[in-house]
Amino acid sequence: MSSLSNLSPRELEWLSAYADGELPPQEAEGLRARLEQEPGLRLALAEIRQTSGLLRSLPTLKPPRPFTLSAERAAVARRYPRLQLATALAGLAFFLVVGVDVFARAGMAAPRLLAVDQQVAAAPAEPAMDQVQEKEQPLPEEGLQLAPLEAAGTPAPAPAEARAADLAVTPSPDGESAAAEQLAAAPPQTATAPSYADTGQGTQPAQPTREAEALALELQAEATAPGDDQVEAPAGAQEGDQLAAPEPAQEPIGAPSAGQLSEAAPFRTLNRIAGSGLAFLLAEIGLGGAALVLAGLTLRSRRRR
Amino acid sequence: MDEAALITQAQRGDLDSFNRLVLDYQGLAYNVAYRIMGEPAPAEDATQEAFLSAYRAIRRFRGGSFRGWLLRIVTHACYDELRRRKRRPSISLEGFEADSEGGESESNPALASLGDGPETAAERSALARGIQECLERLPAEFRAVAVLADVQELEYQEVAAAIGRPVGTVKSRLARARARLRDCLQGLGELLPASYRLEGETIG
Repeated sequence: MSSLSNLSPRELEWLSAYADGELPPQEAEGLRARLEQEPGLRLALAEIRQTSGLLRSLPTLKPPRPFTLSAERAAVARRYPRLQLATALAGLAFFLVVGVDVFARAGMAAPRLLAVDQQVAAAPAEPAMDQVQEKEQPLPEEGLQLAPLEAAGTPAPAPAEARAADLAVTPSPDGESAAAEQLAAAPPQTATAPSYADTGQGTQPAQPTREAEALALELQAEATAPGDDQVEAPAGAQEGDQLAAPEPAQEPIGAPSAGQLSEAAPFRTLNRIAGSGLAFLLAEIGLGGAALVLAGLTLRSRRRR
Repeated sequence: MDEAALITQAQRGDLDSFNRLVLDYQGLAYNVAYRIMGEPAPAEDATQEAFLSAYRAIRRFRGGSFRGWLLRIVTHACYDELRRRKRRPSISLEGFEADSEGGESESNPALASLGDGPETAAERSALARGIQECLERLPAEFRAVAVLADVQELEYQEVAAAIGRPVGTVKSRLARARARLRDCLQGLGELLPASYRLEGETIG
């Protein structure tokens, strides 16, 4: 072991910097005084100088070739970081979409399960509360044309006003599944149901009007074997309560015209596409593919550098 | 054209100006890379990578020591190359073979001045390899400082710029590197110049 091993880290640092003339003047003065009196310190300094000298004696090597850049290589060098960035962004976007998709699916599972639970719980019981029955009484006929709606997947009329409180606190579904879509379209009043049935895609449930009633009657003619029991179908009512938007109770408007509904339809279709996960799937495929292509280009670029 | 003008031209995308800077600095860059990497092939890769990085980054150079700025890129390229080779050890074998071939380049008449007696080229070459091996036993961060401050004889300030650390860090790393190197170099025995073997005698 050399005498350097006996030094404290501080002393070693002082001596090393002193040997290079990099010690501040005041500290250098102090060290010089100590060096005069301590042979061990002098030896350590000599060892540092010798070590440094040996390293300096290493031959300077000639570069094996020029490292100048060709125009092509320079162009690739400039392109490479951009490709790297684009690849990273595409990859990030891909994982974000996958993440949101997975999150949305996980989020949807809970309300749907809840709805099923409620459906099961409500089934054997008397479905409608007194309040609901009272509200439905004035519109006994409208219930009749609900059968085709339900057959088409639309739940039975929801006594929206009676459940307004429920609606206000019900979490809004992401509209992913067909069930959610149906529920969102579920009319709070039976009179509006035929209007939605007309287009199959209703978005603005409204208070019954004469116009709507007329439509209802038209549809009623087409309806096949409606049953009274379906008027009070508990499952539909429950689901409607659970998930339908509360707008009808809060801002009553006229029944939507056929024109309004046909305008709304494309949006519903878009919502359905987005909700069904198709949009996510397309985005995932697109972004994943883009990330892969970019990664391939980046790797090729890296090899050519 | 002076260096500042070349840098300005290179920053505007003039490849010829950049290449003139490369020719000016490739010796320094390659030697630093070789002493950090210890083998010619990886040193060559690291040097080339460093100049490519420098070309991409030169627009961000904001004055100061161009040498320090470039050496910082070189040391980073070496660290990257070392990490890459650690992950893929097979490359080191190629490097080792290349190193054996390139061992001749270590012979240097300047080394003869260190010895008291006549030394053969083979002995000088062996000593240079021994020193290099001692350098390689240091952790990369200490090695870089020893290479820059001792082998390349840079000022502490410039070493600090090259490793991106304060001067205080340079001081402590260099001191510790030298102490470790001293222990290692003593193991070289007969290869060392006679004066270096006279431990314990009063010097200085």
